[in-house]
Amino acid sequence: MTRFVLTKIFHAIITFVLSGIVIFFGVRLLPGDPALAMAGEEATPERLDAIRADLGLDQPLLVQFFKFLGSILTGDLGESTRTGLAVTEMIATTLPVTLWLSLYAIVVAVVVGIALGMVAERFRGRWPEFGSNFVALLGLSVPNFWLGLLAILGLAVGLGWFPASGYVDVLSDPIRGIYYLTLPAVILGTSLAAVITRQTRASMIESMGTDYVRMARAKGLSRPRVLFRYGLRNSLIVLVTIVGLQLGGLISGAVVTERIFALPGLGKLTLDAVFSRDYPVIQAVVLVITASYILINLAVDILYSVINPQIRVSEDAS
Amino acid sequence: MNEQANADRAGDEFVLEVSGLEVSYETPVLHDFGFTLEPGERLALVGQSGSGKSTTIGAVLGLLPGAGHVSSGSVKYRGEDLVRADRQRLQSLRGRSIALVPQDPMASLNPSMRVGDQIADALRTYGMKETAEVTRNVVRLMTEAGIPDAEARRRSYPHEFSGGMRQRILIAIALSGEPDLIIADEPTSALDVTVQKQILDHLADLVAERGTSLLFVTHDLGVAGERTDTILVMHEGRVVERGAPEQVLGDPQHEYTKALVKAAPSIVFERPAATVAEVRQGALGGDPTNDAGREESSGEAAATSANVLEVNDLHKVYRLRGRGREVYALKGVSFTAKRGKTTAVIGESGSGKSTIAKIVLGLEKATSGEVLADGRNVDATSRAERSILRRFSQPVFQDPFSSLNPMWSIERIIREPLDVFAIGARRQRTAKVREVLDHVALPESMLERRPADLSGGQRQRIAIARALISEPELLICDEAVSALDVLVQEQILDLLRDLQSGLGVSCLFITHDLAVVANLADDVVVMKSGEIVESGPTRDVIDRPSAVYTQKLLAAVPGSGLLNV
Repeated sequence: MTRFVLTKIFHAIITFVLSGIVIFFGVRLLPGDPALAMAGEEATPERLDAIRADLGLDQPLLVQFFKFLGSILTGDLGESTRTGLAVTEMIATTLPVTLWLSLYAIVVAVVVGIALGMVAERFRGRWPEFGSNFVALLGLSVPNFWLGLLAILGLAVGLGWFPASGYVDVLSDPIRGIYYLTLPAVILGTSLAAVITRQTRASMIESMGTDYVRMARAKGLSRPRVLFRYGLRNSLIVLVTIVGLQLGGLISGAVVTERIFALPGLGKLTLDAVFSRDYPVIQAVVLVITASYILINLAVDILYSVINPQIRVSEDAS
Repeated sequence: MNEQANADRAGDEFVLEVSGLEVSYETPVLHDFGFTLEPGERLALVGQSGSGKSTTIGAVLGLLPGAGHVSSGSVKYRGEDLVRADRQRLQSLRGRSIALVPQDPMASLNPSMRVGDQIADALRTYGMKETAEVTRNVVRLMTEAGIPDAEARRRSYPHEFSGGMRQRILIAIALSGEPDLIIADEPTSALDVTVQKQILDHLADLVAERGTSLLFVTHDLGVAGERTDTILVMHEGRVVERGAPEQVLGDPQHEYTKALVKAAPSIVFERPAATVAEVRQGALGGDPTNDAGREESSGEAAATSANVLEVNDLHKVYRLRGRGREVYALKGVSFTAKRGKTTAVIGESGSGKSTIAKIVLGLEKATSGEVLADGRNVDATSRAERSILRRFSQPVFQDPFSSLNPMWSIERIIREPLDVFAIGARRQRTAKVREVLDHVALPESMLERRPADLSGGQRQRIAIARALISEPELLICDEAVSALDVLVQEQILDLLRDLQSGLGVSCLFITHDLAVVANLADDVVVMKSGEIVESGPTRDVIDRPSAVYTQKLLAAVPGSGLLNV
């Protein structure tokens, strides 16, 4: 088990280094000149050169690259070319917003998705299944931003149940923080919830039809026990894999959702940085997103081996 | 003492009384079905697939699948009608009063739960609270069920146990509620014959000790005869015969029972060996049309060798990635298969018998040693050589339900080898398909159907037809009849015998079932753990087994004493 986890962590580190390289060169392939973006169209060539020298853009690519690597290792990601603030600080203020939003969305999606999926399995061929299928289809096919706009119009502006925008730090004021994040989290979690619903339904149908579930019932176990410990427990194996793959989409979804609800998160920071060719910020944000994606997958891999004892053995052997 | 205890517990005469039972899915599958089971009695329910055995179990436990429901009749447990009992009542009876030992031990345990927890789960449901007490009883039950080192093993997961050990865990679960009725649903049909004997012996002891009633469901008359007091023969949802084992097996009254008893595989020879040999020789040397056709396809080498297959010092090592672990599937296996004859390779799971089939078919490479098919090394490198070898041997696999492409019509399935080998023009291919279909005794109307419309026996005929159409020299049957009901099995074996005498095709017959071999194979190779323990003419091996292992295998064949008396 330890060996399995260590191997996975090692893989994660390699992936991270490789993606660092891709990010660095990818950013430099973007059309547009940051010096021009900073100084404006009328700037003199001398002024542009000065800015480039200031940013280190006049140095050879390889030198820039090793500086970039060095900055990652020291945790000093430089300064924004747009605002002049330290990039680490900008990320430190925006990242928690996105993390809370994503976490909340995942919780909503998992709870709603598994519940709807289990209802669909339990009442196969009857109206609750059709209802569950309909909701799932809706969640998958209606775009996030449209759903978000509708929600703001109906639930925030119309009924006044939720605030239309704004953010309150979750740690300093948990109740209001969660209240402010509810609408964005539900919107962000919709498509994930839909995927989980469909997947839960499918795997529950499969696992509830297995011999071990029949055996569990023949043992005289109570219905909830059979449903959760024997049915859902084994459905989770498939579910975790699927959900793990979907989480990456959640982060990019967060960019759009933050925009709609005017949340000061990583998504907003990314968009602003891209528009002004703010290299250090773009690099850092993409790096952070990549890192979180790798971390999520690492967590999924480890979780998977916890849920499925057969993985542990076969992976240990390999 | 046990009988007394039972009598005390029961106000009623019968533990189980089923009467006038009709169970329907879309159509009724049980008709006016009934039987009684007395305390301490061991009753066998014998029938083939589709006879309604599983439905009966479902009705007793209240666990009918899908749309199944009891449309009339009653199932009385100690006088209480279970058909009219509510869900709560049924749930409280399951495990505590009526316990199940399921059919497939590989699939009946929760794969994500430690086995000890699965037994504990049952104990807690039956009202045991204290953790220490539960643990103590888990260990006791596992030990009683014959699992060594139960204290440590209770923390293992199901996949860390063999099939036989898993069945022991399931038996431990069944005993955990101290039920007075155990339903054993084909408890050993998925297990090797020697393991089957151990498990059945053990179950019999446990049941006898406790005076528990046993409803033993099986398709195997031999097992039923040895293990129970009464046999109930089921056919198409009805009871066709009931009686003591000696009576049902020795002097069957109903036509269906007679057919079953006759078809039951046994190791008693039905035909005199001399006649068999003559027939074989006739097929080998006497039929000029056949031989001419054969030489064309197999080249000059065919004429020279009497052996269709020579296996020399074959080794196969599977390397598990990392940790340097190696599994020796074959450890120096050598044997020959004679042309125009059937050579059986017998062994239990893990003996390496299927590995041989794969290597002969060219699906896997041997680690060392050689296989000469018709004098040609099957480990050929050139494309042309390989193509010849592919045509030389054709497989028939175990599972007729998964070895046919479900999307294709029967015609396309059978014709495929001709298409692949580019044999004949389109019209000739079509004619050939009809010809082989005739060989396997299926009507032409089958051609347009798809596998899903066919029964297991019909599918296996299709698989044989597909194997035969490219006129291979050697048919490799890997457990080709073990997934089939005994009557169907008998028909397929007959078909193979006919095909051999008619077409002169050689056959390598891989099986775990000694009884099947007795009346089919000319020579037998007995394998254990990748090695040959004994080989020779079938009669000699079965009449005078020299290896201890062969003797053990023979002794484990159920019902050998009762059948064909």
